[in-house]
Amino acid sequence: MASFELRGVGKRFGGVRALDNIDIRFESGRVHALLGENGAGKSTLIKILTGAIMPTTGEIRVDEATVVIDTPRRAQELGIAAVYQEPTVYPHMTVLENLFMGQELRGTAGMLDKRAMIAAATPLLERLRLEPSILARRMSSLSIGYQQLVLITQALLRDTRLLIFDEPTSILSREETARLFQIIGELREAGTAIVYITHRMEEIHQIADEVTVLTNGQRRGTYPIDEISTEQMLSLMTGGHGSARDRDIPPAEAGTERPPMLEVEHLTVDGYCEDISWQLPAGCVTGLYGLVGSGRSETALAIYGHTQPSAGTIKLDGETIRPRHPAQAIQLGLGYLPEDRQFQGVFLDKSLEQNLTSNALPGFSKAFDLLDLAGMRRFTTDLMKRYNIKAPDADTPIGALSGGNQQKGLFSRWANLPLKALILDEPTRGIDIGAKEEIHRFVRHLADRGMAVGVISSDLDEVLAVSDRIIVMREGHIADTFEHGPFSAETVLAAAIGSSSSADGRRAQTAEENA
Amino acid sequence: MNRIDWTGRAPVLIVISAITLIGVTIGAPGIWSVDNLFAMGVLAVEIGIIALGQTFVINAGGIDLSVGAIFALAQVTMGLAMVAGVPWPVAVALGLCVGLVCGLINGLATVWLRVPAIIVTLATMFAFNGLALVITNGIDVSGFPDGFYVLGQGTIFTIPLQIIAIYLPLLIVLAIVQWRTRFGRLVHLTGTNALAARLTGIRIGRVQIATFVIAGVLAALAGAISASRLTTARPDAGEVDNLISIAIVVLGGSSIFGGKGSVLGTALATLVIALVNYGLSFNNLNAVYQSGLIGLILIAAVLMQNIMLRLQQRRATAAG
Repeated sequence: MASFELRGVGKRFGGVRALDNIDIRFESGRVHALLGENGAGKSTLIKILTGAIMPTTGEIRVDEATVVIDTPRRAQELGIAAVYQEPTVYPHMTVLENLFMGQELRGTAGMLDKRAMIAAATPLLERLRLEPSILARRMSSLSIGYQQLVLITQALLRDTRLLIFDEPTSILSREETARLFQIIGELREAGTAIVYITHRMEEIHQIADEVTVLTNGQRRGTYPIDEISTEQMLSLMTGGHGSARDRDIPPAEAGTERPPMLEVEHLTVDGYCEDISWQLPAGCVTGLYGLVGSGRSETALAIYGHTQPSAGTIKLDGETIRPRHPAQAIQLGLGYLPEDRQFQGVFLDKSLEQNLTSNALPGFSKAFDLLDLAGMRRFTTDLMKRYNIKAPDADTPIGALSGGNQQKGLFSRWANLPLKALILDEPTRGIDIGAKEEIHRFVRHLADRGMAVGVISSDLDEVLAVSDRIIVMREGHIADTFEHGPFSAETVLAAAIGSSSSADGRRAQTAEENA
Repeated sequence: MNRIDWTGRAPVLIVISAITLIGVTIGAPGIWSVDNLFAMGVLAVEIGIIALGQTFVINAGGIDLSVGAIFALAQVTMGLAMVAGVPWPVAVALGLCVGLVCGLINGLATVWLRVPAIIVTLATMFAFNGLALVITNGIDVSGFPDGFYVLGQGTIFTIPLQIIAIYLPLLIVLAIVQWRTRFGRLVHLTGTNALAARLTGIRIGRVQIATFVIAGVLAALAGAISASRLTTARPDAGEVDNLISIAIVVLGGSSIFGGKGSVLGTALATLVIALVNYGLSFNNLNAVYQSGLIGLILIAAVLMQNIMLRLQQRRATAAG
């Protein structure tokens, strides 16, 4: 009987502890569910098991022997494979080519032996009830559900003994989910060890044998599935929050009494969110909580003019607006701090000064478009002081700073503009606790100055700490709205997860559904 | 920003110039006369101006394969206009307008149709070249009014006019544009991370279009100087300039992915290339060797910089 075990495994990224002293054991013939919020350490754990990253501390044991998984190839040799929610495939190549990618069978003179590959794949396809003709199809012509099945086939081809599913059902239709569960059941019977990651409560009772709850990189506990109720899982996930939370800042008056500054009505962005209506009142912080994939960022990007909504209206300060470009949104008084600092936010190899002034340049350009360089320098050093951005000087490339200082820089860029409403998307993702608290304080200041602030976050702690009111999104819809505190961590989380059944997952929009 | 961006490449360029200088001096000691230097400068000015425009395009994250074709189209347009009796300053202005329109076409196609710049300008390269051949029936145009020849043959205090009155002032103005103006900053921010720039509220499309327009106008200007110097406008001129201009910009320290580079680096690289070319032809070496050598220099420069970068990183990790 195969076993895969982590002992005291920890992983640090700079100052951030992603995993802390994790002990966990996966055994053949069992489905082990991993449960946790975004950022709880689930993905880090997968990456360690599949050889994408190495743990900072601890050891990994396979069949009771210590191993080092330093490359994805090594993980494969040990029989470990993962199926991600967005399958990583080569879309232009055929299913057969994808199946044998990197492990092609060769015949005479090193030529690819297609016949042998088809012969090897066919029995596995039968096991998964896939037609052999699928082998000749291009990966891109298959729905996401079928692509996942191809990846499972690939895992079986490679004699996988530990198969990890990373939120596989979040983009599957109900039928696809049912088929996947059936397959998982059969794999378990056949003796494969299965790790099943999800944040859907109802699935866990349906499929898992045992469940481990992770929060903030720590293991809260492992339980046989029939010894734990949904309520107990929720309370473990919310960890030490307690049921209500007090902030050191007095909460603002109930949000409904304030005039709405930014109003979104019946907004639809194709494929991401549908018929969203919410509003951000002036002078208060509204938390927009939901797990990744709940359509929060896409809604914000459409409001901000980066993309165009397919339906709905946006009102700012009572006026209907329809920005066609972020530049226009900013002129109207609407800002957006993007979610992905590195790719959407900062200019990594440019200096702090160039970064901080990037959206303030019009104020510094004089005759002939010439810039007031001295003024820009004063402006930058002033922002560095006000927002406590620690850097040797204003000429330091922002990429050389810590994540927290980069994020404070990005934040200061927005906080300094004369905006009426500002949406902050994951304003503290992946930064250390000190910088996080500072940014939370800055966010409060913005609201106190009368700005309407929205904080999109999948970090429950953050939402509870910073919000005057909370809107919860789930799978492209508004799940619940909490107008004023004190908020209960459990109720907010339950609204986001949908602990009652809500299996009407978005259907993958491909023609392949009925193939 | 006030730190010059090409610090990484400058030492490499200086080393290469030094090697070239020594090589050329040994091979042809007679090269070091004022006349020879001016002759070299005159040859360098035309590709040098094209490369200045290319610098802006590449720094904004684009690329322009059609500058050589614009160079040809603009010069035959002004040539035909002059032959038809249009006063030469008007004809030159017309040629510059052709460059502007060509650049605008490149920019609008890239931004509006969201086709990669390399594809758009590959297509327009053929289109502009074809157009130049069609309007001239493939025949060189010559017989221009005397006044026109001042552009490529005039001198000021015995210094060729195009060096002292066109190229150097242009270089200074563009260096100021790049470092001291808002537009210059926007070019570099757009080239560094177009998505972040857009989400910051920068109209990246306008910035990119403007760089293509600059490249088009400067290519046309180079075309005018060339036609004046050679007293002929050729519809097939500038074919090699498309790629050489890119080689010079990269040699001058610009990142081919955008966001990094400067016109001064480009000017220095132009000088290196001119030195190599002129030195080789002074030694009666075949032109075939010239392009081979340019390639070698480019690879050597990039390699040297990569090695230095790696050393620097190693030092940084050791320190950190």
